[in-house]
Amino acid sequence: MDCEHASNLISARIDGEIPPADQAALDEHLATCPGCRATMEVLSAQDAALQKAFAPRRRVASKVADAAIARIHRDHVQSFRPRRFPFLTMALSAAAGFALAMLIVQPWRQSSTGGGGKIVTTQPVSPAIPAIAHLALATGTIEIQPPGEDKWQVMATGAAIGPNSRIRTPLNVRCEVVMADQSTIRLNSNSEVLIGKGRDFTLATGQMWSSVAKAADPFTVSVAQASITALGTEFDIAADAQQATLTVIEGSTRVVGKGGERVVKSGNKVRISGGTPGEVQAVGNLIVATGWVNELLMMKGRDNTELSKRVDALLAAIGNEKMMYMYEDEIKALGDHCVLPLTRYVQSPLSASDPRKRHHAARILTEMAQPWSIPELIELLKDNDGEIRFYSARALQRLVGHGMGRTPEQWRDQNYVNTYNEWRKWWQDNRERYPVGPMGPTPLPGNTPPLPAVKARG
Amino acid sequence: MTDGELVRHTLAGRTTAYDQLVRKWAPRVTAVCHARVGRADMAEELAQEALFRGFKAIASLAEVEKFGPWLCGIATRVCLDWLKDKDRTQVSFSAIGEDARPEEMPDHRSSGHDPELDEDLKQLMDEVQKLPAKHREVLMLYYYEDCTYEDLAKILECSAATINARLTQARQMLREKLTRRVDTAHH
Repeated sequence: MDCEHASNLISARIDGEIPPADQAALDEHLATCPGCRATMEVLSAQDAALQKAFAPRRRVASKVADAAIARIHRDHVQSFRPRRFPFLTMALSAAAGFALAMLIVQPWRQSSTGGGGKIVTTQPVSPAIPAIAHLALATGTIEIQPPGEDKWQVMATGAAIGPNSRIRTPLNVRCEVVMADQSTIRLNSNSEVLIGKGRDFTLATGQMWSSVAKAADPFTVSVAQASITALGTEFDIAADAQQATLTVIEGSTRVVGKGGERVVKSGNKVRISGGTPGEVQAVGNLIVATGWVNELLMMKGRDNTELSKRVDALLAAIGNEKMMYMYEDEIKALGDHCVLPLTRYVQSPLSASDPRKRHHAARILTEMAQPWSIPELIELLKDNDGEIRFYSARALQRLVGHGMGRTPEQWRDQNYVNTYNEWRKWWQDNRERYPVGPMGPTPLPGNTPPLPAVKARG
Repeated sequence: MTDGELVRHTLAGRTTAYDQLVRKWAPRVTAVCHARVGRADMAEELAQEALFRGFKAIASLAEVEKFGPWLCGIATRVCLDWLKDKDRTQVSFSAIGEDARPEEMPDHRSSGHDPELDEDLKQLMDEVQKLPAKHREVLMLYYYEDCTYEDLAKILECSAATINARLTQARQMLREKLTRRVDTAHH
């Protein structure tokens, strides 16, 4: 072996890239060549120095990712807002090639659409009809029936909605509609609603959540032979033709039916049967009662404040010692949906000021974390707080079946940089074996560097 | 999930899929920008711009599995545009070519090294920024993120052996430069 070839192999060994077949040959050469031994030594030290010199750069790269993601989400959300001339929405979308590619409904998806009625694929709203709302978000295919037509049409996200249109969601599909006055309605799966002129709705069946923008005009939902009126509030209605349950989240609403009238304030619910509102009852937990909207909230990006607030409210409730386990159970009742917000909470610098709440969140994560949480749990092994490392190690143990040679208890007392790096390496090698989250992929830890103290390769 | 699958998810309207692409590629895109413009601070802004433009243009990506090289191509164009910008006409065009000489790189001295680095590491980064373009690029890509020769070969569209050779040459050059610096300091 000549020294030039040896120097390539030395570089490859430092990088952990030396082919096994060349290992012995290099060792043999090094044993007889003092020059290459010196090279090996100098380049190893240089590699360590470069790792150190680039450590801040790698952190910057992760900040670049955060900033780019924030910008993309901002841009994305803006593209969903109603335009100044909302009836031009479709035309504008068509003009923006990219927007069209993003928003258009794939034709092959029609086949999966549930429900009766013939479905055609014409544009949902003709530009001649002024729009009173637009479809802001959908987890699947949404259908619209314009007034006077008996055919259901598939509609694209971002599409405008004219007055007196019906909208329906098939099984397991939810959507959010933003009205011209900035009120928002969300439909759970298997729901159908008739949107009147802008602030009047008829919920034929299913579940509808409304956040009402304040205005002089009342906002009215007709349901099960009664009508529910609000001026500025948040409420949720689950209904079929005969009965409905109204849950008021914020403000108050008035229920008027043929059999009576009631005012329902936030934190309460009322059952309406055959047009008669029953007794007002307190709701155990508003967040859980309206947990179905979380799937939509999670589509708005990980920094979605509404979803974080919901989990935060539950975490705050945990602070109440007597009720602690009850609220903990309610967080767990969110299932997968609690995992991302809990993780975000534990990761957030804000939670550092409240270590007790942070420990609660991490403890719940121990049970609730999903296989797609693995990369984030690995990152939490770096945490300065021993309890957080302990819970993360326990969650990893549960999900993976081993602890990389350390017990969770060991992590409580000490920060094992080498084991952390081994976990990262393990994840790089095994991530293909694990599923991605229900809302799509979660970030990988690739954006943060291995801790520079431990760069032992080759 | 492969890059191609993530691109398809993104095209289907799942923006969170693009988040994952951003997290995966941000270090390499930042490295490409840093190598191109020779300034750490500008590299951050340009990389962010490239990641954003990638999202806006993703519908135009023909081979979805080649997302990475395609994105790095966007990053390169973003950097070239910046370098060509009128405000920086003092930069000769040759400064951005393959054989760019370090002395011609804009402001490499004022590139604002990370303040936490000690003097030796700052000197090392100085020398890295003065390497010939193709060596600078491969070295920066390698150290911005732990990636394999194979990964780098795909981005730079060459063989893993070429990556090995360029990294080796880059390291030898750094070794010589730094030895010379030490010698000069001693005499």
